[in-house]
Amino acid sequence: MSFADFGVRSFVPDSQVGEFASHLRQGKVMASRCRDCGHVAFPPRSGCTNCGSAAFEWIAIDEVGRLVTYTRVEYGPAGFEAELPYVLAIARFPLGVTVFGQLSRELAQTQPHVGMPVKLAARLLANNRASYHFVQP
Amino acid sequence: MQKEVAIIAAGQTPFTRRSSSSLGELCFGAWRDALRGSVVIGKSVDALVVCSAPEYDRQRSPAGVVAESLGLSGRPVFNVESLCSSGSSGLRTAYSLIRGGLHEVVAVVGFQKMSELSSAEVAERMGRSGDVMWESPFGLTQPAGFALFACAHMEAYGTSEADLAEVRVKSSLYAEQNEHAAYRKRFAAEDILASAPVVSPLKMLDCCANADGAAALIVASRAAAERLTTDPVWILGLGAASDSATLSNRDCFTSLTSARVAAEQAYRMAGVGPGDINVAEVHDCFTITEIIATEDLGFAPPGSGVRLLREGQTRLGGRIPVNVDGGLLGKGHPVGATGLSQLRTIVRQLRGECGATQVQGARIGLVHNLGGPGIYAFVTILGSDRP
Ligand SMILES: [Zn+2]
Repeated sequence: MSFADFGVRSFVPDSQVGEFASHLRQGKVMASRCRDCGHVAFPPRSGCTNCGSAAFEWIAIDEVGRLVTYTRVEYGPAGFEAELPYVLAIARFPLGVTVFGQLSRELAQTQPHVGMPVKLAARLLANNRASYHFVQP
Repeated sequence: MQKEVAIIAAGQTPFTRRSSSSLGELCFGAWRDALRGSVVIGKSVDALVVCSAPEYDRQRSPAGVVAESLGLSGRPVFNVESLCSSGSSGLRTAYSLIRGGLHEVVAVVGFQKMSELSSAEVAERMGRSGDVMWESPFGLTQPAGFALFACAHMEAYGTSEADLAEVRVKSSLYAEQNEHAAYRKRFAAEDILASAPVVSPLKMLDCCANADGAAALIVASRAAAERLTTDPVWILGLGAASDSATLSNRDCFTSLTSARVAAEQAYRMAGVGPGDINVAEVHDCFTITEIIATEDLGFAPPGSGVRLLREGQTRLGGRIPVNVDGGLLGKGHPVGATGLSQLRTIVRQLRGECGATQVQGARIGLVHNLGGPGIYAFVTILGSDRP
């Protein structure tokens, strides 16, 4: 699976961290970790902004995080008509990363609140596409 | 307090939902309004900086077309862009061109003709306002980005939807009195609270709307300013900062870090503090943004922006009148013109030209202008010589 298949709609076909999409296919949401200084990045990066190294490895974000903020979107951009309404959210994880994404439909139907525990899960979409969302731990 | 560079002229077209002018004609309108018949000032301009967000333009590389429309072909001209803060980027560029000694008098002209795009094209661009690699694939929009800040602010400080509505009530009061504003209808809090949900907690009337329009400034060295005008408005402080394009790399959602940094820089350069500002224009693209701006600028401590607003301190007659021209909410938001329109309002305030919305005795004014949810932030402090 290529990075062009990431998300409901993608705009970037190629990336040095394109493997992120293959990991989603295997059910994993990954951050990158610099092999030289240990700096963890999300979104993942092939080049370390801390030390300039280009050597990185994958590390799964498989822990429980907490919701920082969220919003229910009633008007979406082109390509998101079928998703509406959806809830965008931000959560922080003990690994030291902050992640932006959508709440799962199930979680969106509950009353989301700041501080709520969430986990990341891969989300398989139509047309062989894949994304991730926040789910109940 | 240094007085090395001044704004010697400021103008704008009316902002409208749909202009019947071409982009060159719009820019000419703003330029003509700034010059007020002074051919001498127009002829003294030796460079032009054009501000627009080209994603909204049919014309590729509009700078050359704008120069030609103003009769400035021959002078160096180029475009600067930082989304909704393009105008402030233009002023910063003009300042450095003058301080660097390359030019004496620089025109800064910003425009956007947003009605040229179809609603389908607008919806397509709407989906590319965030980081397109990591965040657009989730359906992030500009309003959603700010709504995430609104939710966090409400959670941290108890800010309510009724508090947000008060921002629009105030802006509509002043927009009604601004003949250059596109949206001049007066609203009561109930109207705003009853408007259609867009991105919770923001509703239709919490959001500014697109507009067509242009604005222009003429910026000059001290020597040129003293030669060309008796009423210069000095650039006392300039601050500029940026933050990550991805929301995933933000530390804070109750405040815009870049705006706080830009404010500190501008205050330090001007040698003044928040208590010295007599009148301010802040980037109220959404109601929540004005509340956060008053906190980031130090007009109120973090979490106390609502109190400042509710006490009427940001109205005319209050401690620090904010957006008494109607703001982006009232005027409409032609992206490339917005920052220059904010600066024009402060120039007029410091020259005592604002009539019914004049802040009496205003001598120091401030402009806060954002690009995206604080991806870019600019704070500018202006001062007049008036007694
Ligand atoms: Zn490193």
